[in-house]
Amino acid sequence: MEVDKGKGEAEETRKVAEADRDTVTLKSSDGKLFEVSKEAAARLSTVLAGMIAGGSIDDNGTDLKQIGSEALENVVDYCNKHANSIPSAALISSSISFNTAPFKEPEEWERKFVDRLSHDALFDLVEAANFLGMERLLDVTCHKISEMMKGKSPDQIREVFNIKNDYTKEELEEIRQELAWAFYDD
Amino acid sequence: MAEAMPDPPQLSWSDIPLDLAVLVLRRLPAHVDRVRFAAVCPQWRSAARQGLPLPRPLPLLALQDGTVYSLPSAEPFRLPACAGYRDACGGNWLFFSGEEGCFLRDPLSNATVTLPALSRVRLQYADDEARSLAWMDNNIDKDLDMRKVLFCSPHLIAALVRVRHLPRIALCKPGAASWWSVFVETRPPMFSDIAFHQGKLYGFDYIRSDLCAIDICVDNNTDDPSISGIRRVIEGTSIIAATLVDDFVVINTVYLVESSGALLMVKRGMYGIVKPASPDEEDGTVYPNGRNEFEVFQADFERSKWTESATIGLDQVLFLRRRCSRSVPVSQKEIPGNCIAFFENDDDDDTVWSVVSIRGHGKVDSKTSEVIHWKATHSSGNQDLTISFEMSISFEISGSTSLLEML
Repeated sequence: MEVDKGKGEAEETRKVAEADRDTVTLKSSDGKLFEVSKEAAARLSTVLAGMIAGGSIDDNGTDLKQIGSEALENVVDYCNKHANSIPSAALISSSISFNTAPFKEPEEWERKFVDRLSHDALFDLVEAANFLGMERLLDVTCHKISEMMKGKSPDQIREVFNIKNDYTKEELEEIRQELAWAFYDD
Repeated sequence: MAEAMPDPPQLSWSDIPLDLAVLVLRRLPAHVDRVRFAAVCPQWRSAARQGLPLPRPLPLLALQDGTVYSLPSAEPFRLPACAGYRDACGGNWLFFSGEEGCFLRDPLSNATVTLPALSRVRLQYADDEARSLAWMDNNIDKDLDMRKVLFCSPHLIAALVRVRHLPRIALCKPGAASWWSVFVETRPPMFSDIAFHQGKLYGFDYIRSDLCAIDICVDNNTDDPSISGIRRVIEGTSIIAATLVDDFVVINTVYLVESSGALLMVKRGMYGIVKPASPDEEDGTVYPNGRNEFEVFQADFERSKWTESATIGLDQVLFLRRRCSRSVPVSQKEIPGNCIAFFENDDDDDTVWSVVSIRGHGKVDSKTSEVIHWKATHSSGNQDLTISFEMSISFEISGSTSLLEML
């Protein structure tokens, strides 16, 4: 229970202690605790950076009620891997590539990182990345999802992404007429 | 959902927050993939609407028989609404003329703009001297010979036409009842290309290598557009139509194309070998040997000069085509930027070839044009542009091809 303990010296010392630590503890919606590099968390997540700067990090596990343990584990895993990779090299390689778009191409390890995920895990991870303001992880996950769609017909996309065809017959016919050229499966 | 499949996946991706769906959609550069994305479910359809404006997708390559390639895919589609078009003329507009009349159509929205028939031609004389030539041009008994059509605005269509072998500018406002107004002056600039740039029409005089601004006025009563004057705004150094370099004939062509808000003039030197068409013929046919060189210049209107550019921009690809040149932004890895894509043999134009005075058949060997490769030329950073690779897209095409670009 987070009863108000009185904001006094205890609070102050706790903050100092926290500042000395180089990890932060995050708590998933189902109560599991994860340690993550503070530097990487602050660099990769605008939300976590704000919490760290604002001192609202709880030593006993900062509650992230919107994120399940599997997704949070992936987030933390991603942050820690990122902390171990050499970020400066990553930045250099993307800036000299042809790609001047706002989207940076995923690194090899980032590709592998999302490739091993199940669809459900990917779904949860992209939502978690969105919630935590993790632009880079959003790039990587959305890139993966777009790769899964390229060159597929709407039916194939529905199958891959477990989407029921909610269109009425009339709507579907309308779409088909309008966009017939884009469907090679009919 | 309770009755969902037991194994993966449990979640339905149609429930993904719309802003995330938009993020995914923005990473689909091919037009066809975006269309299919929007057709998956009502949620994604509304995400596609909400996500506007999206980065411009890669263009569609539309063939005259209705075959369409959605770059970067080499898989063909059928888009019947573009079958039989004659020219692409800006935006998504395709130009048609035939028994059903003369019109523009956007094959994706199916919007059409009716134009006057190509036989509805009125001559507009620049001055009395031009009027004295009326006997020459008076008997236009054939349809206008359209070389390039431009959709300038919903009220103005401009065309480069040829009347008795001389290039002229024709203007019309849309509508079956309106007329093509062809501007006749005594010594017309030898326009080889025209472009619409920042609300103004420009023509490139191939012989003098000048850029001309074509001033247009609109009749207060009839709304009919007509030319009020042609001014030379940038004087160039004249281009030699064909030169000999070692054993090759180098044929020089020029394209006007708007790119990133600037007007570019692209000079292309195309290398070829002259061979007699047949043993008993004196005149030869030029066989392109595949080598092309490009120089890119940017119009500097303030200082009335062309400024040479060493680059097109890492995020741009120029698609050059006499009838329809485009600069296409590429923001994704599918197609590298700073490239020029062109046809080895441009379409049926024999202007250049007649200038080179290769008579006989008068153009490049049509047999080789059955296989057309889009080639990309890559800027090496200095002034010389050389071919360094061929794009993986290679289509076998027997007709004309144009680019459609989505907005």
